[in-house]
Amino acid sequence: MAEHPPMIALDGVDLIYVTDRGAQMALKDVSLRVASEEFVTLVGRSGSGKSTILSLIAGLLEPTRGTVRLAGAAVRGPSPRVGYMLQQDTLLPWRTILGNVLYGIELRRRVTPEDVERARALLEEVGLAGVEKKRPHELSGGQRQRVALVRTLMTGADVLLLDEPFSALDYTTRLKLQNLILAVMRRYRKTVLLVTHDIAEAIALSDRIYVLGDRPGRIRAHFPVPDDLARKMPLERRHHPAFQATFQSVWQALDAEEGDA
Amino acid sequence: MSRDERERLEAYRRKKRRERLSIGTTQVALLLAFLLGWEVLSRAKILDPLLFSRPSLIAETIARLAAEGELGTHIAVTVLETIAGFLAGTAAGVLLAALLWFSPFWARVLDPYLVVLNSMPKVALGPLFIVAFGSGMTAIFMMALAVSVIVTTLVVYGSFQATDPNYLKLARSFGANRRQLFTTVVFPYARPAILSALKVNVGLSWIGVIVGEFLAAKAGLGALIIYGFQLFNFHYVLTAVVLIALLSAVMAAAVDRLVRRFER
Repeated sequence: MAEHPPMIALDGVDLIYVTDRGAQMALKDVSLRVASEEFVTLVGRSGSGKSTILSLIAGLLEPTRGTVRLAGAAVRGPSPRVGYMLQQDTLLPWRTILGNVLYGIELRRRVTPEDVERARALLEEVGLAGVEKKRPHELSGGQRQRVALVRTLMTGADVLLLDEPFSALDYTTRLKLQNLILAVMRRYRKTVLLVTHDIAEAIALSDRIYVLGDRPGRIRAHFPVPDDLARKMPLERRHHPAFQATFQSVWQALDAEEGDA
Repeated sequence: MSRDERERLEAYRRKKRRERLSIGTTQVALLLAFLLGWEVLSRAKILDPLLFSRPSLIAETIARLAAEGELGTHIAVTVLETIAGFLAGTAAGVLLAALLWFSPFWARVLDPYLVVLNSMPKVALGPLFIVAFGSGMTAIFMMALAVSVIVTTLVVYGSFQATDPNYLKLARSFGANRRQLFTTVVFPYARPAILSALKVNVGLSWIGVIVGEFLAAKAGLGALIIYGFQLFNFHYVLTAVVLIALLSAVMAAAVDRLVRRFER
């Protein structure tokens, strides 16, 4: 009974979108758990409601039915405990890099010199020393996504929601950023829920994988990533013999879904 | 840079310079031909000199009015009204657009009214303004403002609404309230639209000012046109027209430069 509640818990969540064109069930009876400091990935095709699940946890949407809880407490609106990293880097082009990194703090309280110091240190840590005064358009896609990562870390959130943060990057940049993100998440002991359609990416990064079915989105299957894989870094995982086997099982779960459609 | 590259660059620059020069020369030649043709046709009475005047007489009129000290007043009055009009029109338009953004309910309620107001020629309200604000600079300023305010409201509100939803999502996930959404995302996102409204409004403001001066003014280039018209002295009319053309071009160019500086 001394057990902590899971960091993220969804129970029997339905979500119905209502627009002028009608009502559509986006999520049906979704239940999932993410333990503290765990790295969990939702894999599904586009339209499977992956991003909708993140929006629920971020407090941007309310479930039609069921409950969404953070460390045992029901989610009511955006919380400083949750950081959300979007598909595009969404750096504000009219702000400097430093201005972007401090943006989340600025919305909640006055920025202190310590914040600026920490921002510099974090930027340096992700290999971006000396870019503080630059504008987003002066950086490459990979650099921008690292800035977005720092921005998410700056708010001190312990739960990070990553919405396909690698999808707009070229292959080599993507692999490097995956390594960096996993390293940073482990170092700062973050709880992470990643959304992707890329099975290899899911296996390379996470401890557990949920496979999401389409229209309405629902949990189709659930795979723990084998321990000897999960201990390694993403680049090493891709060469590990267990990688292919895991890939096959996730693939089959996703493919079965495709057959239904 | 290698020698080969440098040579290529040199050749490229020479070609560009030649092009610029030939375009510039042709432009000047065209202007001179126009002025000369005007002068000659007018002197030969092929163009009615009473109606079309001629460049030499216009230059004379400008010189005389300048010497009498009247010209400075006319220009100052008109330019002042125009600048005040387009700045106030843009500012009021942006303010109204912001109010609409903060109240989606009222934005939808007012939508048809704004559409009607926008398609209505504002100068039709001229007499109303004169009665309301007196026959003078205030009425003319209000005309200039009226001409640009509604279209600015619609354009800027449109760009407020076109804000990239990803930026809004980001700001909301950080817990931004509606005011913060506006000041940190919506307004900066619309800045290019506001700056281009500024450029458009310079031209609109001139229309409001000249029509306003037709109706009410005792001084200003529009008043000079009406004065010449009433005396059937078209030298005055064309003098004013030439000055308006020059001044509006200068002002448009100045605003363009200013806007470009703000666009970084």
